[in-house]
Amino acid sequence: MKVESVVFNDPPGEFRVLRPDGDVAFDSRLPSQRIHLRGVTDVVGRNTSPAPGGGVILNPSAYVTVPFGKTFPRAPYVRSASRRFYPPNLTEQKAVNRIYPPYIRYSDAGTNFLTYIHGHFSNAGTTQLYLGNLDSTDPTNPAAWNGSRRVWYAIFDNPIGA
Amino acid sequence: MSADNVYSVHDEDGRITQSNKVFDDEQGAYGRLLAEREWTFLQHGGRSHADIAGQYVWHGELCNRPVMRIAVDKASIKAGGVDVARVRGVPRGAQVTVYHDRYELGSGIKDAAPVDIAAQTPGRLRVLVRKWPYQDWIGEVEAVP
Repeated sequence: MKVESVVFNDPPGEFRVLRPDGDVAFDSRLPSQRIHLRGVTDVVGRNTSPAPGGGVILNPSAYVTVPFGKTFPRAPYVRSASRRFYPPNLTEQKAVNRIYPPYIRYSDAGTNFLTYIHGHFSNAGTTQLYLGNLDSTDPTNPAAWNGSRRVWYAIFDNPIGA
Repeated sequence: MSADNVYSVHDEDGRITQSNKVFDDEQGAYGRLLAEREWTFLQHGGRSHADIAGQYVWHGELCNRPVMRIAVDKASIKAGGVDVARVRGVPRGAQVTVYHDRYELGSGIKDAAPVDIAAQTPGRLRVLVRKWPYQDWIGEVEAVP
């Protein structure tokens, strides 16, 4: 799913994910989405390390755990979006908000992540949402960035916005 | 379902690090889950999650972070290091950081004196003042040739 932009805090606490053509891919205000949990968190900083031959390895990044508190009868849908602040909380570094696929962990081993397919996850039995590697796929990462990222997310169980 | 179905996880100073509104929270199950994990949290009501930038937890209640009464006396100064903009109202003990465009010029803890801002070269100066639990204050001064 190609996502163009996100509307945050309109009204406060809500967010919408918009496709490039303006269609709404997710709207946290809609009861029809049957939302289980909606939240926000700050992920402060990330680690970087020099790469062989120069440059910066962007992994590992920062992770946050959101416990679901329940097991879904089938895989829930997840939407998340984030803003990056640089330096911390001083300015938004980017005009365009970034969309990152979250990871859902479904085993206590911590190594098995579900496959991200067309904007949703394709398995069940989930108990935790991991928002991780928040900068690993962003080619505009500055080498020495060490700010914070605010992440909004919602977990819902119908295919609207899939 | 409990009406108090917002759970704001916070640290010992009351900083909210995560806030979740749970729509199918059966008999406070989510709170029990957090308690089992020994997370420090406040269970409260609200039509959405807490504002983690503008609110904090104080004595078991969700409160708005207070605003610092800070003002800067000039919107622009001449570059060269002589002309200064004076920032008044910075509380004692606040962390003051000055940026020149995206680069940090310096940072320190405010003492009793006012904060004077100067720049050797033209550019946009930003002043970030932090003192918990106040909301961060950000001011701008343009350094012109």
